[in-house]
Amino acid sequence: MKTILNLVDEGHLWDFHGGIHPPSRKERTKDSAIVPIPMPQHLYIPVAQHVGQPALPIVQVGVNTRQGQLIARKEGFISANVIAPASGTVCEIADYAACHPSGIPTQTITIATSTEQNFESLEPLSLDDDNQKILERINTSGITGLGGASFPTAVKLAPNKPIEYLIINAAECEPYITADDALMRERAADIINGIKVMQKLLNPTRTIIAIEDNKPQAIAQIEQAADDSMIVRAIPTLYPAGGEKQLIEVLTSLQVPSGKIPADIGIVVQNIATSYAAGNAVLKGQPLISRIVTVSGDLVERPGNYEVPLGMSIKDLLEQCGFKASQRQKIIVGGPMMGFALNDINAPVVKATNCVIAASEQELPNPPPEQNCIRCGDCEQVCPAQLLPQQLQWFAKDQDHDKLKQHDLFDCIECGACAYVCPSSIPLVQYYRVAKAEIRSEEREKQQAQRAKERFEQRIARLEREKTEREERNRLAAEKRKAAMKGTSNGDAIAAALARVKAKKSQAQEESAAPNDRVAAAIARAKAKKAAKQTTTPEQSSEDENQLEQKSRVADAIARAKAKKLAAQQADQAPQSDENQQVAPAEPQLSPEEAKKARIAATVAKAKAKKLAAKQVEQAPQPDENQQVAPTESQQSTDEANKARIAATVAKAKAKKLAAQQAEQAPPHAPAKLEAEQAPRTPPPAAVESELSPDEIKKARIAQAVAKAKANALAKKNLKK
Amino acid sequence: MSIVLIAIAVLTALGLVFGVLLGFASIRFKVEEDPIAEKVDAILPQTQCGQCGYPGCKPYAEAVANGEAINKCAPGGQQTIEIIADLLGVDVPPAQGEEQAPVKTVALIIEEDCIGCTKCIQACPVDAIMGTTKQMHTIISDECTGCDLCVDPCPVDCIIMVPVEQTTRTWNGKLNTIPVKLLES
Repeated sequence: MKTILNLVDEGHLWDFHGGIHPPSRKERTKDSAIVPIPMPQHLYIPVAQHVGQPALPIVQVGVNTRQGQLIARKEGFISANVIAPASGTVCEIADYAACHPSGIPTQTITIATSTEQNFESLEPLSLDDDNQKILERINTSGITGLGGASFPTAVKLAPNKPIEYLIINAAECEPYITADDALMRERAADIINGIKVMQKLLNPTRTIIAIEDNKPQAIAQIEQAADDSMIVRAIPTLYPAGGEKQLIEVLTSLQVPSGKIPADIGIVVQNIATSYAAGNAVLKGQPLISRIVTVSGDLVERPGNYEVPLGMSIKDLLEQCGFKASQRQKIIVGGPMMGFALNDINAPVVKATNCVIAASEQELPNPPPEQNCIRCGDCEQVCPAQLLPQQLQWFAKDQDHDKLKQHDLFDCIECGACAYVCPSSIPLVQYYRVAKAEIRSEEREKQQAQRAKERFEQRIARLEREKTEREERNRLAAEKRKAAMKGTSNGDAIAAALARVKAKKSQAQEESAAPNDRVAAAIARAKAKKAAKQTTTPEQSSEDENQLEQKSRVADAIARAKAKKLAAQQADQAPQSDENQQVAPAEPQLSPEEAKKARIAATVAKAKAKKLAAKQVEQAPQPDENQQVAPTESQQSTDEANKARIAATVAKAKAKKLAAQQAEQAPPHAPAKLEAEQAPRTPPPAAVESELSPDEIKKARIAQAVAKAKANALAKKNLKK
Repeated sequence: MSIVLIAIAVLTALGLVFGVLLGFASIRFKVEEDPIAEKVDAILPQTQCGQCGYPGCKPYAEAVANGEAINKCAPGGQQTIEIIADLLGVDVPPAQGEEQAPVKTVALIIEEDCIGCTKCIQACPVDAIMGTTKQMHTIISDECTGCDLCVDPCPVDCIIMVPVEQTTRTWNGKLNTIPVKLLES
């Protein structure tokens, strides 16, 4: 039994399903030689001329480029470099009309070309060089598939499986196009060199060059140039024999499984123009900067095959070929079957542009309006991918993406054979393209959603982690502080410091109070008590008012007494200040009676304070602290003691001040006395402060401040008088 | 009499045997089914926008699993509602808000106006904003879900939402579509 390899060697050819015979229309250009196109003034080089990630521009606006210089570097694995096709100046990097059916502008590097072209060629390699080096060269030269799909060639030439067949695709089955034909006729030797490079990289068992049998000259040229390791195979003309999977089937009978690539079954297919470009890049050091483009159609005067610098605008190219604009003209890029009508004639020639057709409506009429499907089944008969175009059409119209996927929509090569035979002129391929785009965008959205979800979850995790870290940090810092404090003062330093301060304060107060101002202290205490009483027993207010008056009088007396005493003391001791000295004579007038009164008041106040303290302890009216403290303290709760002391100091200060004031005005006036009454009366609120709510404390403070201000004002008045 | 006893005994024995068998099977072959919340979460668009009133898609998915209305997802639109309704076997309620399919947007920082306050960074649920204090911020538009949660916190209103533009790579395949819009009266 013969193996497939034997059959291939014998020249056996197989059929693929379906296929059509559209009018070839290659006559206009099939004998024309390759004509180089003069360099245009501007080149528009998109950074995305290939399948995969767009390249990243590495030049800035204003820099000079040389022909062959790298201007945009590939990004990611499936991507390709972009090479400057001309010397000149980068004049813009911006969005520009793309050579794409959508007409959506893409990032494009615009080069204003100079009159002089300095070609920057790379060092030529030889076939003896390392595979890696050769691959790297193909990579840097920006070579992509020139047949139409523009897949980066270096990726395809480094498969991870052993390759049995290397197939060079020169079928060129699409109508109008003769670019590969011209290339084969004129540059067969370079093509064969390129194939040798590929053979070296892939080391295939067989290399087959497949050419449709409508190009006898090309076949002859290639057969002449080819060596024994290559099989040149003329295949029957049938559209789309040049489709990758169809060509594989014709030559080897093998079918590429759905969703797989030819490399998975040990086959690599390369376009013949690609092998030419690869050969030039490796063996001549010429990166990909131009390509052969067929310009055809009845609107150009000089149809033919032109060597066009990449990035030349199609408008410039057509003008070079004698383009006559007409109404309802069609400018088609690629063939009439798989190409697309240009949106913008300024779009540039890119790596995948193999043909530009400028046709009038007579040559390429618009299809008649779409009619309903009559279920004739012709489309199924011609589908080279053995799909069910009719079914797909229904599902596409329904947007039933699951069904479309079930019916292998993605195996459709968009060859257009179904639409070509459709008697209802339904633009079937257009439906499939839209459906494919919808499914792709749906999948992209799903991926994005998945990514967003991951990022959201990661963010939540990060916030959580940061929070715990912060807490941990705070805890550690607190511990450190505590440890440091322990080291210095065997306990809570703050508490210790507070205690120290308190102790000092009370000591000082006692010291100062003990000798001369015990009276004042007592008054203050009394006042504090009174205020406490007022707050605890508001019902007694009417009685209290009387008491208050009395007490104020008492307080007044006390203040006076105090002043007197002070004067007396000072008289005894060495005189301290002038003011005090002056006070001394003024006060004694205020009789011993008053002093007595004051003393009485003081004792009364003291007694009252004691009583109140006892009462409070019994009633245990307020916080736990008081309760706990009260039993241990013999006289009063510490709070109250403190308050009383504070009040005492305040009262003392006031008294002094008043005394000083009074001393200044020689005879004490009645109003001044009144003020003196008022002044000491103010402290009590301060004394009760801490038992009151913050609001009340505030009020009390304000009141105090007001009282002080009043006292001052009055004192001033008195002074003037 | 004995026949009756035997019958009862046999039936009881059979009942016990099958009961044990079934009990064993129910434990041994327990189907670990995806909780409904997970499934709903997989349908939601994951914009994390909070327009449903929940802090993120997952909390809403959990709420839906617990009986929350399924028509609160604004970015998902009617399509999402239909899929969830299908999953939960409930009637399709009308979408809340506008009935048109939601336009996918991304945030854009007008960089000249940015004062570098980092407020938007804190608001972004997917960490798609880069920048630091007193430095200009920018949106990583590939990661932006278009939830517009960053728009309100901006003190200088320098964040705007722009519709995602088609590129040649995301082209919807429609040739020369003429945008049909209703003119506002």
